[in-house]
Amino acid sequence: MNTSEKLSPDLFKPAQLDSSEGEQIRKESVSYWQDVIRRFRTNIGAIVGLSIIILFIVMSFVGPYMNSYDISTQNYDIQNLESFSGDHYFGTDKFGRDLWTRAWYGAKISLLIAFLAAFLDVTIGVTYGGVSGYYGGRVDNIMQRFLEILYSIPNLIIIILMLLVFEPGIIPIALALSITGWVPMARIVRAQMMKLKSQEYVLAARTLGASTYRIMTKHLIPNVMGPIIVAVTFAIPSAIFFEAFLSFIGLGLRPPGASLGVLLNDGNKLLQIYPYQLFWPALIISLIMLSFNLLGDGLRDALDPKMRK
Amino acid sequence: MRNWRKLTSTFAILLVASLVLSACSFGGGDSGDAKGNVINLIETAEPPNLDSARSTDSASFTILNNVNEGLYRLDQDSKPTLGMAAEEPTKSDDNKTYTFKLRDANWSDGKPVTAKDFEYAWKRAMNPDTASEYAFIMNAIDKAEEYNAGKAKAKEVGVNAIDDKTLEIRLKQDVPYLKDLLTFGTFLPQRQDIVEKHGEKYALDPDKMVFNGPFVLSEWKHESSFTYKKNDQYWEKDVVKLDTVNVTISKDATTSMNLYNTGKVDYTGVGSEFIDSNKDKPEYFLQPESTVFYTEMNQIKEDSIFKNAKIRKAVMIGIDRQTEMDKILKNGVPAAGFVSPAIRGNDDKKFRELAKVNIEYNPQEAKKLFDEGLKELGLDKAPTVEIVGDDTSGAKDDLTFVKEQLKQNLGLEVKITSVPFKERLERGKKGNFDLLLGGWAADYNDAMSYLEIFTTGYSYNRGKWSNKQYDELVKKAQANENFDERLEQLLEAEKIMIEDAGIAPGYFRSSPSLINQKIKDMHWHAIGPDYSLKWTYVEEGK
Repeated sequence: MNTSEKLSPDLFKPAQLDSSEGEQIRKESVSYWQDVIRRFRTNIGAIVGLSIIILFIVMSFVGPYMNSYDISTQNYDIQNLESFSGDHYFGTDKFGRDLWTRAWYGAKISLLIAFLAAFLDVTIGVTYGGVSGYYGGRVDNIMQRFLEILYSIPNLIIIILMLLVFEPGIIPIALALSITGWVPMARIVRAQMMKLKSQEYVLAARTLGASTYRIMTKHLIPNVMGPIIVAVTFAIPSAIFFEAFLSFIGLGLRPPGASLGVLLNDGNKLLQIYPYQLFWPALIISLIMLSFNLLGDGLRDALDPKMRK
Repeated sequence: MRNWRKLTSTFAILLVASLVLSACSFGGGDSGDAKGNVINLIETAEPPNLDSARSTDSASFTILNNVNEGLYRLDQDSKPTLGMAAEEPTKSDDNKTYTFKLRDANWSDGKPVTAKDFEYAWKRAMNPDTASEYAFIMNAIDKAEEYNAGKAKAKEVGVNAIDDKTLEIRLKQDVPYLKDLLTFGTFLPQRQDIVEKHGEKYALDPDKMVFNGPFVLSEWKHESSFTYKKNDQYWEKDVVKLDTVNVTISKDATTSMNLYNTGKVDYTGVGSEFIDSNKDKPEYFLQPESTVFYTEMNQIKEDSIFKNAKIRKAVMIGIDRQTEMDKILKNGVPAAGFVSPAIRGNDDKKFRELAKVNIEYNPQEAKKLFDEGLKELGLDKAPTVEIVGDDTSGAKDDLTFVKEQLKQNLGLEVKITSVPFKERLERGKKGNFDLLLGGWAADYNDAMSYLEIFTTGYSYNRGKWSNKQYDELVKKAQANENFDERLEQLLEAEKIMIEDAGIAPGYFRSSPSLINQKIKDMHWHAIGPDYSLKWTYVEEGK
């Protein structure tokens, strides 16, 4: 470009800079969690997953009351009705029980078992892993060997034995699932603890005289929240799946109780004749599994500070 | 890259579609292709062994019935007809000694069937060293029980081969069902030379046994299949029309159904889930059984509400078994009493036809009795009771139905515990239940086979129901040699049992099955072996 215009010195003047302004934060500060939420919102899959989960949780409470039937009343005049006959939206089973009611009730029981199992996993796993990782050394050594022994016993065997001793119900099943379910959680937390405890801010806190309890609860646990939440979102669907599996091999709730596993087991027998009796519970359990996995993926990305843009 | 992706997704769709479509292709096949004189059957269990002295299961007894023959065999109407016995026996004056003349018949290796073969086989079954679980079936024979318990010698036992063709049986006391009893598998003859030659391996393979029945076992692939061929040495071989019978062992109901639907087999049992889609087919029929299913009520526990006879009766008449049979289980009829309809009464009539009781469903009466019973016990509300049953899908349906019925009709809350078969037996033995679902099938064709198990102190009386009058009647009948009077006592005993509601009979089961319509005269038996193939033939030209 050919410019004939000449730059003259009077076009320039010194800027009036206040040195204190360098410290001023113009943009609103973004906390870690705000950042997480922002990142999470951009993930469509995770949003869909979360919406479906919320919808199903609401439906599991509201669904059974949307028509006038309950889960156990049998009516032999309306056996094996097709889906969408009258207000039997999902049809009826061979006892003439309403499948819509049973499916949502079953979803509620399955979710309840899963959340309970996940809660137990977190409580036990975080405490155990936290203590083991933070103290390290001999404590860690002993705790890890115990954990390895526990983990080396096939969990199906422990679960089956437990359910033979206790009567199958919501709490025994949740307990049985978490008896070995907390182990991966404890391992994740321990690994994170080992990494974090040698960081400078922990050293600083310790130097300032903070108690172990305070360091744990205020500094370490909040920093491992990310991996914990991700682990939980994957633990819940696996608990649902395991509950379904237990019901499927006949170790689930006693009849006439319903969980998704019980419904799948009943429906499976009639697959060749009344496929819809398998279809609806299968659809619900598939969507729950998919949603939790989408949500888990989304959370993992959102909670990872390295993903910050 | 893009194209590759498109290709894989198309492929994935095709794959899924093919899966779905292949899953739909069941049930299209032609039913059966019985050709000539060959038929193909299904058996649900591998016979453990075919040593008639030791067999206990129906699979073994069914095979033995087709390859061997005792003094009598079951005929087309499941009545005893002469087999190895040439004629009806002569009786001694006190009716306790029977003398049988054997017909001229050969074993499949050409040697003649002798009275010695019977004596040997029976004494072998009674021998305590054989440890036969069915030794008790011979207890009607003099000194059999004592020999089996080690308290008598073999030669004291009331079975004697007088010569090659004459067999003498001395009974402890005369019983009306002797002929039926002699059709039972444990009473089949055995060849001493063959048994001793093979020792422990006797009857574990077709070449380690010998046959005197309509067929021989020609092949036995363990856990997979076995084959019958016509026995050329059989005394009535002209009657036998089939040349070959192939039997596939299939334990899974769905597999069996698919084998039938694709024409691989001509007969299959029908699992409860397949009843609806098959029950209108002409091939569908109910195979008779002698099994009765009943509910036992715990009368030992301190605070059991079932000590009260009115409450027991309410449970008995408060369950709508007709609906259960028509709509849920579909494999039987409501039990009118405890003794199965297959059981004989006297020479003309069945026990059930002569019975003095008939259980009828009556919810109003049941509710009334239940409330009265609670009042007598001084209770306002019945406690929740536990019902224990098997964990098969049929048993679970039964439990679910019973629970709902008791809740609706009586207001009795029931907790269901369904456990594996062995655990159910264990629970029963220990009395660890309030209500217990159980079943019983006859060992021999007489009401005594049912009624004696609920006498006081009998091990199978799990609920410990006890009634002096009942005990006395059964005891009297056991020793009674006047058959009319004996029958009368048994009828009376059943009446007492039902009126006192010692147990609550549920239903008489039969097995839903499908059979190729070209197969004729395959005869089914409720007691002992499942079927006889002696008279069976394949109808041509359809």
